Amino acid sequence: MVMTDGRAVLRGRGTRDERVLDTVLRVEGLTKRYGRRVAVQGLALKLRRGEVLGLLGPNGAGKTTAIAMILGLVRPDAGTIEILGVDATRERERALRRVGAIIESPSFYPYLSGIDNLRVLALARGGVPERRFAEVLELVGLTGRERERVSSYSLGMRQRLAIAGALLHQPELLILDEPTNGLDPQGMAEIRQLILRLAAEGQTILLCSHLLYEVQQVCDRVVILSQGQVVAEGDVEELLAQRTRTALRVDDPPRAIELLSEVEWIERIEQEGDLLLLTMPSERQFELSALLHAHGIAVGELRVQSRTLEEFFLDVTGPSTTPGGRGVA
Amino acid sequence: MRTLIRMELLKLRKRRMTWIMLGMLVGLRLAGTAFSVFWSSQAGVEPEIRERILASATLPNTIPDALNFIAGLGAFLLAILTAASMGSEYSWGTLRAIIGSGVPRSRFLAAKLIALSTAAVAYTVVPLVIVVGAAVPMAWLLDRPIMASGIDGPWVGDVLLMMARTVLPLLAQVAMAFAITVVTRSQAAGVGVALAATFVEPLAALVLDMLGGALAAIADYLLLVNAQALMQYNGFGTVQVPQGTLSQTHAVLVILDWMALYVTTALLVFRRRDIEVRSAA
Repeated sequence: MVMTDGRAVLRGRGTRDERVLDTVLRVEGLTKRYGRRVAVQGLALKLRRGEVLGLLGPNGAGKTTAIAMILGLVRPDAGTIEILGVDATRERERALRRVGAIIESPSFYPYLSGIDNLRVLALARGGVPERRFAEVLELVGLTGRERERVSSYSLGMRQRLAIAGALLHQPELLILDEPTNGLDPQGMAEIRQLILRLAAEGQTILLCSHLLYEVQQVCDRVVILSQGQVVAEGDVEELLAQRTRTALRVDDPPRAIELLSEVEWIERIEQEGDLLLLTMPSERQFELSALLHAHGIAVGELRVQSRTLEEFFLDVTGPSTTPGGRGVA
Repeated sequence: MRTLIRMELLKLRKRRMTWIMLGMLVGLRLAGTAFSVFWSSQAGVEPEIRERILASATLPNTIPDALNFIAGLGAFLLAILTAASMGSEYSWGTLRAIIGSGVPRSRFLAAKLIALSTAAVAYTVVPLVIVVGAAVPMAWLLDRPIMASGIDGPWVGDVLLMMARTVLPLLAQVAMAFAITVVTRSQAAGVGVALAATFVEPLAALVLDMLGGALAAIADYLLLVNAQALMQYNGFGTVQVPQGTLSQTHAVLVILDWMALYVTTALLVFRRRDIEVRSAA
């Protein structure tokens, strides 16, 4: 079976669920205030081993603040963070020992070469075997460029080096905050492929992004933040299925609206010309058809409109919080 | 902790600025000596002044003179190096990568201070060794004895003491620039305030001295006043210091107090404060 889609590979392997054994990251009631402004309010997250969780939100939603708190850069006002069973607010060093992260734009010592930057990160981690440098450089496709100064690297190369640095000590949890930020389409595709490859190898990843296409491609589950609070969370496909719209053309739209507005599993009814758009579970379309037929309303067209994560995102975060541009595959 | 110190030493060693400043320290001292010797050979220079210059260019007097030079220019250069070393961690964002990897903040600061202190020692030892080395051909060129007296235990002891008297104020300067950079999170502020202090403090000491009474006593507890007092004791054998010079013990204790204050301030601020992440609100 030929599968080009990364997620298809993941799901098709059949071993993924078997690896979902325990909780790698558990966050509860995480709160951060800056004066009167609440940056993160009562955030709860749970990330299981082998899972790729997308943390989404418009700019200023609190994603980076949440990650900064997980990494101990920002002190939370309330809440608990548990990484691999260790309380990260009390034992930060021990908790972060098995975490690799890139936060915001990649940060390096520009006067050092790629390999020396990796050496610095390795020493910060207490040292890693020398052969590991070659392994991670190979993994991110920087072999042969490691002796060059980082100041001469393109942004894409820096992003890849940052991922190499985060993977140096073979972490059990990889946190990637906007890993494709500022990259051109080709760079984005390269990083996305790399993340898909890591995910396929069973790496647990918390991916923070506002590029929804990217997240839809890569993540198993998503948590959507808006103004510091979780507004939606769940399996990507389930979330999209929940919000699937059904397009309906009938001979008597006003009567159909009157009838359908009484149906509890229909969440919303919108009218676009002579077309009714119903937000409802897609599996109830036969029930819908039967209901209309029973009330003598003739159905001319009934089709399910699948939605993108972007549409779902705009639905739950509101139109004022338009996310950034979509990534290009 | 050892790996963190190795990390900081790697960063310092590979930084061009470290070597450029060391080169400046050595080069300016050698150039200054060469120029003084050349100038002293001109007609019209009083024999007493000429003798003092030639003695300063050769052993053993070149040692305390070189150390005085290092204590002056070295303090400036180390303030710049310290502020650059810590300030660029903020401006390049590398601090969040290091601290985000689980490194305890206090250990990170300690490792950086130890590495910078190592640089302060290197900034004293390396130029001194080169200057002493250069004094040998200089003596040959000037047709003077390489050493007026022999090298014995007390002589070596004096040299080590002189080096210690030079390094201690340099370490205090490192601690000051470090604390200012940590508190302001700015390389420019670290350099600016540390350098401004070297100009403002002597003026403040002068004003306090002129005001007299209890205010004059405050000057005895200023960092640079004590650093300068300590340097007065540099020399071989029994050194005659000007009357009213603060005692060595007083100077050392005051300098150590200032260092403790700066390091404690840096540590308290660094441990408590959030590390800025650009998009973190």
